[in-house]
Amino acid sequence: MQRIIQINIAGRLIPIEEDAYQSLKAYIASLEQQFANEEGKDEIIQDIEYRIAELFSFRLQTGAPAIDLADVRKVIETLGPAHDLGDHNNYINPNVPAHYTNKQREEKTDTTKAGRKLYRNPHNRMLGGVCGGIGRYFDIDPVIIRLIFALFFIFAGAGLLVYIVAWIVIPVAKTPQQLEEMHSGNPVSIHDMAQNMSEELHELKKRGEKMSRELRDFFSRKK
Amino acid sequence: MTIGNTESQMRKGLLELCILGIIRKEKEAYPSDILEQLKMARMVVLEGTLYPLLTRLKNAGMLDYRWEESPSGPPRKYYSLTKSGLKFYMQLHTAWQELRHTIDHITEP
Repeated sequence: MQRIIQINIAGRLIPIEEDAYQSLKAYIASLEQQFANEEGKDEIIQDIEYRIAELFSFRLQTGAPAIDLADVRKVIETLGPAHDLGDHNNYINPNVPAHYTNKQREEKTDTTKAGRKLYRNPHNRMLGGVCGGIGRYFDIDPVIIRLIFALFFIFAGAGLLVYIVAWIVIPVAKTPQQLEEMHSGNPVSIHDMAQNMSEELHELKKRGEKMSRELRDFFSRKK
Repeated sequence: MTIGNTESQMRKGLLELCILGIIRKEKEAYPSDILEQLKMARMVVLEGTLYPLLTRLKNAGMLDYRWEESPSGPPRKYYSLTKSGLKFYMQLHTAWQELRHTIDHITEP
């Protein structure tokens, strides 16, 4: 003979058999203990109670007059015994990794200020991975690069040649580090490229001026 | 040492990324929705592991929630990503992509 009692769980009135109730009570107590040192303990327990209430509601909707011990055991099995849940060493505390990844990322960019390296991408390839590598370098979908190459080939006939030369010239990324280098440096923007170009031009101009000065000196000495 | 054990450690490590990914995809999701999708992907075995993670993510400012009445059961907590949650998700996702490439490369025959 079983006594059926009414319990209030997550704002729902649930009819439950006496021994089932005792088992449920013990389970929730074990959860409280498990999450005792957790900042959000009350909320976690509440959320789990809401889930329990939901699972009980499903059970009652299928026509059960009250929740019995077998139902409670099934719910505990679904949710998991307390000691399997609070294992936070296995979980990453969201506070920590957010920080950690940021810091790591900063360090990473610091060491790779030199910028990215161009490799052929062995993981995104049709032929030699040239377009995959270029795409990764510029953060562009390789499909677009492939299309440009294809258009070049059809309309100018040069695409294939350019591709073959690139295939030969650009090394394939062989080590994980090289794979990383393809993408880990500062993104290469058009702005950077323009800046590099103007620096190069400036350098060229200086060299030209120097050369013409030397030539002038050379000729004036000759006179 | 068993396959099952190591495999479940791998899944556990990726659970956060999956939860944030599901919430992002659905815009708003309540725990039982998330559980349903995780179970279909064989990403979670014990339901109880989800709740502490959700609460921690919420307390870290990654998630927001609102209550909604349910026609059949207790009211539901609908979670959505905050701005920093989205950023965190993007970072995790990039980290996962990089890790995947690296692992593929290392384990290539």
